[in-house]
Amino acid sequence: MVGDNSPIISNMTPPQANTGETVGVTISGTHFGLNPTLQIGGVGVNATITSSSPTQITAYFSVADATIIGTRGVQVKSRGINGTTFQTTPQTSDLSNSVPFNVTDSPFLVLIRFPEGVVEKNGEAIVRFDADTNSSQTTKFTIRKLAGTGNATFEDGSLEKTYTGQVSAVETIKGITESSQANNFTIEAKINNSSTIRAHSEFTVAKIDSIVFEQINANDITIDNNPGTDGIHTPEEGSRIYPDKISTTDTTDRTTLRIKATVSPAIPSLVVYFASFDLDDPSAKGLPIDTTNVDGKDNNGNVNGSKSGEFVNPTGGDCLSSVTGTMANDYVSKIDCTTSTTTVSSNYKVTMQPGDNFAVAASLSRDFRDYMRLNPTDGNQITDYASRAIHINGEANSANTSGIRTKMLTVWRKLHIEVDSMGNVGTDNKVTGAITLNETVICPPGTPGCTAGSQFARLTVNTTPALETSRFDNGRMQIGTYYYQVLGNSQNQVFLTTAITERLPANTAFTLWDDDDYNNNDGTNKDGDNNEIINLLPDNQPGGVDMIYQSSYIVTDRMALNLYNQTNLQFDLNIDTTGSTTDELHLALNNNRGSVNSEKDDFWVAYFLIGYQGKENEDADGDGSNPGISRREPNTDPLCDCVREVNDVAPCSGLTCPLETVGGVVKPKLPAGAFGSAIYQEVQQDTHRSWLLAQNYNYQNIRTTLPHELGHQFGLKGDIVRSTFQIMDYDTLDTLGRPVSNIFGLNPEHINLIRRRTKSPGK
Amino acid sequence: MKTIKTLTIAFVLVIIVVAKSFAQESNDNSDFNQLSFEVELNKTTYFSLETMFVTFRLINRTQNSVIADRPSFLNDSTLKIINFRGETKEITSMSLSSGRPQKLPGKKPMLQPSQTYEEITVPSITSEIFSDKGKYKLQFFLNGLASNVIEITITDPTGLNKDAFDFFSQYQGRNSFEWIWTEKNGIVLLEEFVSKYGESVYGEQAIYALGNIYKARDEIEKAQNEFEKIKTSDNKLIANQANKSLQDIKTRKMCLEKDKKP
Repeated sequence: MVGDNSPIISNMTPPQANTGETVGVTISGTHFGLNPTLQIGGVGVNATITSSSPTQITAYFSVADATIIGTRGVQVKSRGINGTTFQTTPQTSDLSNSVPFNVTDSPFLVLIRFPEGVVEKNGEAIVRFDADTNSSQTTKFTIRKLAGTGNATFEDGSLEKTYTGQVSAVETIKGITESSQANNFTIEAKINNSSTIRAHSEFTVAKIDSIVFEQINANDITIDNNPGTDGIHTPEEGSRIYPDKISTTDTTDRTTLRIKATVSPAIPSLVVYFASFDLDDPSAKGLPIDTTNVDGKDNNGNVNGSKSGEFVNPTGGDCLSSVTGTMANDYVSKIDCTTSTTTVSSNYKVTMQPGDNFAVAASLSRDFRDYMRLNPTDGNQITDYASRAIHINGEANSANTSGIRTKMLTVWRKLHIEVDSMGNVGTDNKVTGAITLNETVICPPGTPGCTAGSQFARLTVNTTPALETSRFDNGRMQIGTYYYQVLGNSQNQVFLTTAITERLPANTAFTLWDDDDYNNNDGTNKDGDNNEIINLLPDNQPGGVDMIYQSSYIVTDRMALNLYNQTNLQFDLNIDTTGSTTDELHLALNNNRGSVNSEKDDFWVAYFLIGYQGKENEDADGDGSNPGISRREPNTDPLCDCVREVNDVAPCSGLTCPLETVGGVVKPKLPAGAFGSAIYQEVQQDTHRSWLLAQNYNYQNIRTTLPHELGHQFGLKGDIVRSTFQIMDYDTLDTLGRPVSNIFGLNPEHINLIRRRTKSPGK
Repeated sequence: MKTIKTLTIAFVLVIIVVAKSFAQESNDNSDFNQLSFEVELNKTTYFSLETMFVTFRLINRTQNSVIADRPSFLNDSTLKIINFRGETKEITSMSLSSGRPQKLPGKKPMLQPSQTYEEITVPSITSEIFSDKGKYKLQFFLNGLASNVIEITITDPTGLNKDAFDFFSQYQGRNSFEWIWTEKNGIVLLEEFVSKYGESVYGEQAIYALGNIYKARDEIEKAQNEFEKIKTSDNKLIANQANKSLQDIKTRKMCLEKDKKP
């Protein structure tokens, strides 16, 4: 009939299939149009069209295992020549004639079980084959690519596996190159070389292209390159995270970051299996810092018991089966996350201990992930079941392993420093009095500093109170309009470098200045730093301590506590120290420490008061010099040098930290450190100058004081003349009796103590 | 000029006692053990948590000068305490401070015959050590020297002292006054303590602390009032501290007066 565009089936082959079987069917005819569909009567037979043209349709007919035996009608439904609308005219129909499709009882059942439907590039996946055939029949399983690109084989490189008789087999499929699209491979089962596909299962070769850490909060401190303990970044040192709070009022959790994997091809519902590891500490091999030598699992902190951190399903995330690592499983934590497109992510929480380090690995195979281990002879390596190193994100997969891991991630801590300094010295750093007697004295033979037989003045003076003995050594004296250099003094006598031949009237007034010159700018005209402002000397800049404390994965910051910094505190010529909690030192530190309530476990604080001089007998204007002093609170444990676990009797060159029992467990107790330190600039300069004048010796005391005192705030003791504890010891003496600054570094025992701290230094 | 400046205290002392010590210098030695070590406490009976002020003395009772570095008494000493039950405890750390003086080049700290190094200090001894009331014997040890043995008695505070004790016992650090800094209204609490219990045995330190806080805030009149209260204290250390602070205030006032002048 003219105008009749009804689809017509002229032939369908094969016209039958067994239960449980999938067959490829070809339907021939006319007027099928574009994008036709098939309608099959009854239940139990489903069609999937794989190609179509106006005259031919190819499709899989999948017959359910348990369905009714018998004949179904098959019809083509046309959607017109453009695949959208069928033009209906009288006596035409979009449905074709019905042709019979007969379902018969299967003589055998073939099953392919490949539940994941994914094999990872360079990885392997297990597929199970079952065929309920008789002894004379063969079943062939073939891997065939349906579309796009990619490559997959059986484990031996073949594409076919053939079995005779009943089959119950496990085969391994290898992913060679990743698929360009989802489900572009199929495994088909055929019996006796028949063209009939008895069973099939589609799969994809997928790949994790990258795995990276990302910060979660926009104002988290940026994850950057880990500079290592030498301050120079190398690629193997990976990245670093600061888990600290960023301000005194910060309430955001900064210990958690995002671990993100990107997969290809884009497959929704693909599962990425993550695992975290506690890598070996690269900065030490062996005690006291590294308890496991070349192996990992040596972090000092833990997250709910796991040294490798812990995964947490993010809000709105699609992660399941989070497992927190325990000692029994080498502290490996795990989580399984499902992709929505090409990426998948989980939240990941790290410890707070400086120097703790981690890596996260991932695989598309749960089994493969579960076999990942740290290499016990190189704890920076994560290996697969065959002891091959899992490749690091961004690096070549030279061992052709499945899976991928992040670079090392290392925890660094910020130490927030408050620095206050005194103001103007004023005009009173001097002594006035009256001269009661002027005598000329002859320098005795053999007296260094004056020529034998030369003359100099010995002045008897009257002052209230009496002079501090030796305070005015190398100072200056004004009598009338004349100035004299001072050799030294006792309580009531002053010795000048020259004689005064003029007669001095009784009770001639004088002014004495000692050699105080905190910034070394007065030359010989010492004036007690008259009206000078106390400024930070370059060597006192806290940034200078970073070079030393980076060995403990700590850097200093002066911005967060900037609001507390004061620069014009009331001047005190000598801050007295008696040991009392109400002595001048204790009160000066506490009076000015604005950050006193800012210290928290996740916000570490150190405090420095830049002053002028300490107590009188330590101000370098006599025989003693103490350029810095730190103070701890009462009823706290003494500072110590070595951390020892119970029953660990390894010797300590200093004082071993005490033990405490917490929850029935005996463990080392780290003392609260000093809550603040006073740095005496004039004493530093005076000491330095004394050595320069006495022996032309450039003594490096100025740069050592601040990092030394900071060590006390971290609870480090040291303070013995030796070289054991480096910056924390007093300087050793060379053969000429001169102090030689110890190494500008920290002893491993002290690094260990710092890295185990959980509390802010003064706490 | 610089070479002359290298003349140090040791040589100045030589000059002072030219006739006397030149001949003796060969007999000088640095044997610290030749010195006598004596200790004195400011009281013999203390109330619980009352501060002990300890005077350390190193005395040269020999006929010769003794070269001896000035010790850091609190850092270098240990303390043996025997309680009334005969139990012994040793305190190895009595200093809250870290840091000690180092000798300057060419200095030869020397104690002449009969000369004394003396220092009043406040050792840090945890409150638990004297928590039981009764008699205790104390002996200090310094670089191989043993001090005289001192007997003290610890008793419960009563009356005003008990009230003061109860007041600070509510707060962190108790008699150490740590609570001034850790409590939000710590300074107000200290003012209250001074007002109510300034006359107690715990009061003078509180007064000094309060004066110092005022001084740091440049509230110099208020600071002066506090220091005036204790400038004649029987406690030599407290009196010295107060008088030094009053001197500072006097200087400060002079500076302020100068600033006012056009």
